[in-house]
Amino acid sequence: MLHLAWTMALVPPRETPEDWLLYKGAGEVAKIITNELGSRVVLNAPVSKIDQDSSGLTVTYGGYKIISTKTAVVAIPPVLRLNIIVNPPLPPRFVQLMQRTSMPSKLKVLAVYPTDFWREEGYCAAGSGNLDVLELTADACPPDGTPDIIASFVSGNKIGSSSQLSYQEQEALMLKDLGTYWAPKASQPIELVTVRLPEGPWITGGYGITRSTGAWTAFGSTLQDDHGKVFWSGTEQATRWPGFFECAIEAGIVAAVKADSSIQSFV
Amino acid sequence: MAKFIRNGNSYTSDLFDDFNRAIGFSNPDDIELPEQEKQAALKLLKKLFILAKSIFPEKPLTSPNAQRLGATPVSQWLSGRNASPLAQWMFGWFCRGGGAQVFEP
Repeated sequence: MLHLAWTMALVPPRETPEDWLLYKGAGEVAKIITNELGSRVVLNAPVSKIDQDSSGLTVTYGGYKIISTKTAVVAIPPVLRLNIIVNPPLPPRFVQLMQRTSMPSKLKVLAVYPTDFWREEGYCAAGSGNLDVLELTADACPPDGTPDIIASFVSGNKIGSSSQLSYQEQEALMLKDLGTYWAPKASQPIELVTVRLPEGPWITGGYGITRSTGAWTAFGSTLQDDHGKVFWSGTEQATRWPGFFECAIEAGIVAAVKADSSIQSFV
Repeated sequence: MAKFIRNGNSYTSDLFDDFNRAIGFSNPDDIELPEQEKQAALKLLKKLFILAKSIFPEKPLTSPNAQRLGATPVSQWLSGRNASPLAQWMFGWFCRGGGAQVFEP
């Protein structure tokens, strides 16, 4: 209940935090940044170990590669931090909190249509209700209007219960709900794209985080504790718009400032 | 315009931006459910917004009743207030579909 009230305090619906869509989708931001950074971005090379002593850090990544550095910012989902062997070890209290801070279950569903038939009927594709798998829908057409897309989500335990079905059977449930919301023809899109966030090995779920009941007040004060010269960054870290881009940027700046100060201390 | 569907019944509404009274994306006045059930659900929603105002954004763990709230599942908070199925769906919608979190109430 504290988590729900806190997010309502930080992301009040009246401020319409989802007012804007990113052209081509949120993934474009990573691509643009990657293009700017060029070869400094190393893909498919997860960090497996961080050794730390008074002289700095030794980071093992990509299986066997090693880099020495003075500091590091770790910007991955909290629970995945536990996949990194850290020496000296992370405090048990911090580890316990990470174990209780899992990534949510979420599928993003994009249904592509030959026409924006809902707009022609005066709808903006905003739908909500207690259907089998889709509890909300929204218009996700790009600015030029094509392709014509309705976005939706499968969330929480609805994923758990439907995950025992084949992908084909899951999609049949999604199409049935789209048809119930918007029209029989909504159940016959040109294409149905399902982004399965829990299957992403670098995220294991999304968006935001979940916390087991009572964990936050019992262990939560350690969430933002630095570990020597290792600094954590993520959208869950900030105190405004958690789960949104603004918050991710804020958390990134905070971590970068800390890292920079840490480097200066070596000079 | 928006649509709200409950138990197989479909209602059309203007997209509603009074978030203190919204049911899903819709105006409750356009939804043909028992008035008592709608008002009871909106009353609980108002309690949630009041509760949110009591939370310290930067130090939520020091907020009034933080320990009690942190140890209380949303579903338990709702059942303690005799929440109707409509209210339970509304809170579940916030928990599962909210922008900042995805969890079961």
